[in-house]
Amino acid sequence: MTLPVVLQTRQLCKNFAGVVAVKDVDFVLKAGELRCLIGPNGAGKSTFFKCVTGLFRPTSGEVEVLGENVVGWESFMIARLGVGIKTQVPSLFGELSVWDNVWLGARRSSGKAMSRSCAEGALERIGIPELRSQQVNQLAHGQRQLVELAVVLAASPKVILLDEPAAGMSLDESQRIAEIIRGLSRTAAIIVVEHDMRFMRVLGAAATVFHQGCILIEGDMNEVLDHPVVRDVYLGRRAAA
Amino acid sequence: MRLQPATAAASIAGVLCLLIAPSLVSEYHLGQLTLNISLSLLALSLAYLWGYGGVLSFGHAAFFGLGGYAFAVVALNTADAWAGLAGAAGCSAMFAAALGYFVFYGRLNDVYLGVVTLVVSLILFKVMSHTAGPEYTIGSASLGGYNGIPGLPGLHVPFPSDVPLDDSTLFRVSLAVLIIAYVGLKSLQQTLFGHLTLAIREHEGRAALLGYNVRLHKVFVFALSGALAGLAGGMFASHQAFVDPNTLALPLSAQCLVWVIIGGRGTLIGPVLASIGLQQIITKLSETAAFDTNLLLGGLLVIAVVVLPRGLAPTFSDAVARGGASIKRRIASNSDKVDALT
Repeated sequence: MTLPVVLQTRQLCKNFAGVVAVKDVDFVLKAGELRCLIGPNGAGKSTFFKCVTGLFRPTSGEVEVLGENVVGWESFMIARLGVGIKTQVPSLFGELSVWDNVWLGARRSSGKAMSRSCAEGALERIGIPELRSQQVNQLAHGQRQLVELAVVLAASPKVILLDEPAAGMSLDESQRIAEIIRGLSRTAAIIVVEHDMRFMRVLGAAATVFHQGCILIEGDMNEVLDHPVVRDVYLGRRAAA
Repeated sequence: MRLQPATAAASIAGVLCLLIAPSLVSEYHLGQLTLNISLSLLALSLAYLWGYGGVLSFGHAAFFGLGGYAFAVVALNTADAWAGLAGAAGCSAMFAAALGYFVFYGRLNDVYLGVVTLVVSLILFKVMSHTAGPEYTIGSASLGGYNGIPGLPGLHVPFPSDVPLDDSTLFRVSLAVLIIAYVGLKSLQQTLFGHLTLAIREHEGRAALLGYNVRLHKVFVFALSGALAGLAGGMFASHQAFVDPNTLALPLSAQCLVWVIIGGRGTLIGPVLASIGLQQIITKLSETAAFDTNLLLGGLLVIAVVVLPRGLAPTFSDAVARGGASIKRRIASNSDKVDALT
């Protein structure tokens, strides 16, 4: 059975005052697929995410989300289609409690009646129900990463973009995040950007390598990481060893 | 909807004041308090916009003065002060919504937004100062240029409409409006709209990424604050029976900012109490001695920023919370000692 395409970009380009951040990217993500994006800093991964979520307007090309060409749409409209993003630096409502953050995530997508149970479910699934009454500003970085994941999850998105979800986390926390992501991939299509290759190997998903704004290579994670060009030029031999 | 204990306590204190104050103070001071309450409604509107919405308006007097003029035009043409108040709130709300639309959809934020509101208030001040002459007449209301519009009708008993309210009833009505506005805003904070207002203040981008229309929401918050400021302007004009361009001017906008900063940004009750308290102090000082009240206000602002950077209300509530926690610890410690002895 052919799975439907939930996210597709065609010849996607984004320039900043002449500097090319994303160039001619053709990318396809299918329902239920888990994909890893890798590449050195400045390769265009985060810019690609921002083009998909409407935070940046592409210079040219198309972005199709769940069958809709969303170029020129505002980010809240794209979010309403069912796209959720965890940003590189946790973006949360700092002076609100963890519960308020997660409830606001659930409230718009699941309505008044279901929002409480959705928020409860997200907190349970991420494993942080004990943090619910704490103010977000008082949490450690790793806890904020988990809270943002719960906020995204509470909105029940169909496409989830995770920008460095394991950054700044301990090995145990990273493994927990990897398990959560694998669990999420049963209900949503997910793209993960991460620099930690051990984490990516644990995820065991297909990988797409970005370099200088373009897609360099796509394929199975181990094949990609063992590819001589990727090892020599982008990851370095030590990282792949 | 359940009120938080602090909100309920403040509302009860307000209602007690409403019942008792007219029998305790002179007619003259009651009139002063009634004017103070109108201005504290302006402080409440800015406290909501800035403290809850995170939108700093440097020229909030624009909505206040516009409300005063709208009251004058509607009340003089309909001979009904209540219709004038509705017109004041409605006109300022529409003006704020239109301004908010251009500002927020034009992606102006932070200090740029403050500058725009400041410039708008200065433009309105200039425009209204140059409306002397018979050509500047709306129905039976002559705008009067720098001299303003005198002879405005005061609030009256609704039916029959020609019986004016006495001073104590006017005071009670004004305070009731302030209490209703305060409780209304606090109750609004318990709803999705209120939660979203705070969320947008904290992180606009995240709110948008969750599917919330941030700009439209900010326009609504701006319009609501404008409506309250307009209502305050209408009440002020009604109590004074007069409105002039000074109600749109920079000194009033600056005073309003001082009230909010000293009272405590992020609270509603703090700016309201600071507004009434500071107005009373300034009135007393100007009655008893040759004292530059602006110097006093400036000095108080500097002291507040240095000594109480968060303002009076948050500092006070923190102190109460710390005191409560300390008492709980002592009680727990004493009960442990008793347990150990027994």
